[in-house]
Amino acid sequence: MIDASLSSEIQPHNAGIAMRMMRGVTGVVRYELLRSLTPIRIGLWICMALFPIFLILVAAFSIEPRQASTEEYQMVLSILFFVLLPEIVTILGMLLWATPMVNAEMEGQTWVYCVIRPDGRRMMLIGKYIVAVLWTVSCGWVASSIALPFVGFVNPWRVWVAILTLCLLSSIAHGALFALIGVLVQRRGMVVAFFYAAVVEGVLGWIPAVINKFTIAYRIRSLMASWLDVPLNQFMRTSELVSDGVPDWVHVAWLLGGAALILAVALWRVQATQYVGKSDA
Amino acid sequence: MNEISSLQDAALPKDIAPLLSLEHVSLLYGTVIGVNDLQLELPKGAYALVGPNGAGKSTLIGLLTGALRPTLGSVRLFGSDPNRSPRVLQRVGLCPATDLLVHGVSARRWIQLQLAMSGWSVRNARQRTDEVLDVVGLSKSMDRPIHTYSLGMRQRCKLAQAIAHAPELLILDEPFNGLDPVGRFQISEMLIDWARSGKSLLLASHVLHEVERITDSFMLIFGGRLLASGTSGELRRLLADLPQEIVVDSAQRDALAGKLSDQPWLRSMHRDNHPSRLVLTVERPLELYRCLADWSENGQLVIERVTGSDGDISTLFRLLVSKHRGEAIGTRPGVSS
Repeated sequence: MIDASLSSEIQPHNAGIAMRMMRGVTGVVRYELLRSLTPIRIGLWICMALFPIFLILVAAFSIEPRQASTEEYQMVLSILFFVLLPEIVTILGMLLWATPMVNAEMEGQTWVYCVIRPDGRRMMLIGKYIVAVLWTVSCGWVASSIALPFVGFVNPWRVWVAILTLCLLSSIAHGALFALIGVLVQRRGMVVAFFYAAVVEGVLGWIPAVINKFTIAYRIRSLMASWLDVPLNQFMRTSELVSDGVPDWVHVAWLLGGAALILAVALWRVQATQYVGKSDA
Repeated sequence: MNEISSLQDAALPKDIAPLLSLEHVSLLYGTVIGVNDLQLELPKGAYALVGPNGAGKSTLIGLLTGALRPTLGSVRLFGSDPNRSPRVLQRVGLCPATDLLVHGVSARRWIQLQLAMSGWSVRNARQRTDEVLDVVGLSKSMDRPIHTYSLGMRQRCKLAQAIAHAPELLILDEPFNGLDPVGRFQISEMLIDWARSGKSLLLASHVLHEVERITDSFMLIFGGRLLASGTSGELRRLLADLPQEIVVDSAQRDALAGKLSDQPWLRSMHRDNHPSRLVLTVERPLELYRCLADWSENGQLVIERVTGSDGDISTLFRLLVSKHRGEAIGTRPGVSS
């Protein structure tokens, strides 16, 4: 006969809310990182790390060696690094890992286990967001670290630190935004996030007008222009494609503050929304 | 309205608050009614929520656990609204009806995650996970990925996470799905022990005889409405007052039909293909049994066999459902609907 009584005398209810949240979030992070170690996900991670390396190396080796120290070479490679790593790899990574946060739980019929815990939905969202950032940033960092030694930058350490920092900031900002999209749009979240990235970040972000200042791409680009000495900088400044005279900390604060605000909205929304699964609908 | 609810939350000590109370609760999925005007207050104890698939059991559980919000009315669990005061959910364990579709993760890891989300430390969660998987009989396969489990093992895994954080109320939605007879017996025994330990239990099922072993208190639900509630004794008394179909075998079928035709409690009567069989629908079965006994005792008729309701709750349920569907079944039973 099975005995329903449990021998343990643990009293988990004594922990404060902050401690419980921390335990829950770290639990989700551990669990999601463990789940990430499947052949498919590792394969995706490798592909995402390899494709920018491949393109950068193709560009680097297709330029004649005698041109390697020219400004054009430095500029093309710097922009390629920037476009591929903090932009494309980060956006792709966040599309894959941040957007389907809620939908993956609904599809796996495990959302109900988050709902039944008092702060389970918030724990799940924060934990998955952290894992998405870790996963994406690690991909960008590894790709830039492998590709950089093959490219003859005049100041490689400066480029490396700049790209690493931009990857982190871009992941934090895009991750929060795509997490909110995933919370708001349950079943077509990835489609909406893709169109957002293409239209807002890809098109509006490059329009020289006030509207581009509200995009993540503008802030990341401005930081790149400030941290990397690219000949196109003056052109981009006069064209309002990057900021002129705005301190770096404003862009960093804009990205981090915006991410915190968006994440707060996502956390409020995920707690307030009544998600209905296929079986309930 | 919010202020009143908050005051009620504050004023009502949690220990004496009812287990759950529903006040005119309705929920609409668009234009489809999930549950309809449910009104109920239950003290702490063990209850079975019985109804066919699609009756509204899972919707009601979703309302109790805060996954769904009522369109109308209010839901309270231990005196608190689970949507406004989700902290109350710490006292609840849920074993949902949906299958567990987790890939590449062992039961041990998954239950540790559930305990972490309940605020447990890593060390305590590890210890409790081992205990609880032993309770449900999964200790030998706790490190196997869940997707390699049989349906019954996944059911046990769900049950383990429901009881792992030592809740006061255990809510189970179709817990016997996929279990073999031994598993059903073991889980039933565990739930009986759970109820005996003084903790509360709400068990939703469409299999009546399985829940009858565990609890004596039933709520019958169909079409989003509570058809009846009470103990099995109360429901059986209700059953005695409901019209029932009874088959009588007698070699003197025509004579029997003649005697019965005068009885006011007879609703219908027809011949079966069998040459000695009459199929009756009677409003007061006890009256029929008394008459048949008298006629047989006086030598007026020879009654070979009487086949009637088996007297179990399934008959009551069938009759109440018929009534709910608007099928004419005679006298109005004293049911809450």
